[in-house]
Amino acid sequence: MAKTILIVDDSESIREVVNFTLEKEGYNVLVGVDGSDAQKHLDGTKIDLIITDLHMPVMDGIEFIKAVRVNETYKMIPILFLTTESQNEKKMEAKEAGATGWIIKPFLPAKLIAAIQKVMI
Amino acid sequence: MDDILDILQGKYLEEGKRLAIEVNLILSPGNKTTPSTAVFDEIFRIMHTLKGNSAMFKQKEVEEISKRLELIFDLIRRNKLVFSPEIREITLQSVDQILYWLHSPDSISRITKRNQRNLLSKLSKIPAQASTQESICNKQSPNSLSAFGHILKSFKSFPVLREHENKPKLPVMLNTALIYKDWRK
Repeated sequence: MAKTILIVDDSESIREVVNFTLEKEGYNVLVGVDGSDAQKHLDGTKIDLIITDLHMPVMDGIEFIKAVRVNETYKMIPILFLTTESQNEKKMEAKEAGATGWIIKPFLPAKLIAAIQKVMI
Repeated sequence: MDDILDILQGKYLEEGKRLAIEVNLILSPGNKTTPSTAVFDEIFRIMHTLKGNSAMFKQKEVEEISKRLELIFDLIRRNKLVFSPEIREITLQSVDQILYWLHSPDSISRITKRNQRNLLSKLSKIPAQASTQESICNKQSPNSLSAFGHILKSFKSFPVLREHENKPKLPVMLNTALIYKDWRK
């Protein structure tokens, strides 16, 4: 059965690139345009991995990660943040919030898939 | 395959234009709204998105401009730099240049290249006006903000989820290798 990945990013271009890359590999993809919007998928839907941006309007990535971690159903799910952010402060903030790791943009599709396969056992 | 890449490239260009125009409208002289922290946050976020998208789609010129503006508006929104008419003006010029690149990504004139160099030079000088210039610039130089990792970065030491330490063993990540303990059993 295909695994399901939730992508959360306010940039349509990035959502499309990630979506295309993942669907090509056979994953089911769910999409949120910001943290608040993505929460609509946290309704018991089976999700195997979350990939989220950090800087987003309405609800940013850090707040979204925190929201996932307090949800009984999803609190153990791997979360990667996909970002151009290279500030350690932000990474530590995401770590404290419960992120599993991060991927720096720009990324190569093959590297993205490799990273996903590593965290999604 | 090429069709899909063209579609993705088209999405990038359209989104980039929409974001650039948004900044133009926010800062245009006709907009009487006094810029606030929320406005600076918004411009910072737009430039952050433009930078990331441009890096993904290999639009180096747009990436260079947006990277510098991201830094400038990060300083402004954190009250480290005062938003001035000069900054408004150069931001609007930069947005025009970004729109030029996005409208004509494949046609580069000598004038455009010269404009780009001048613009980048001016933009690079602005962060030095910040009151805590040295510490801020060291911390967030344009180079340090660039993202060419191409690899999965990971936290050197976990616990990832400190608040859930009483739960089954959590994923452990070391350097760039992800090592998962069998925490789901």
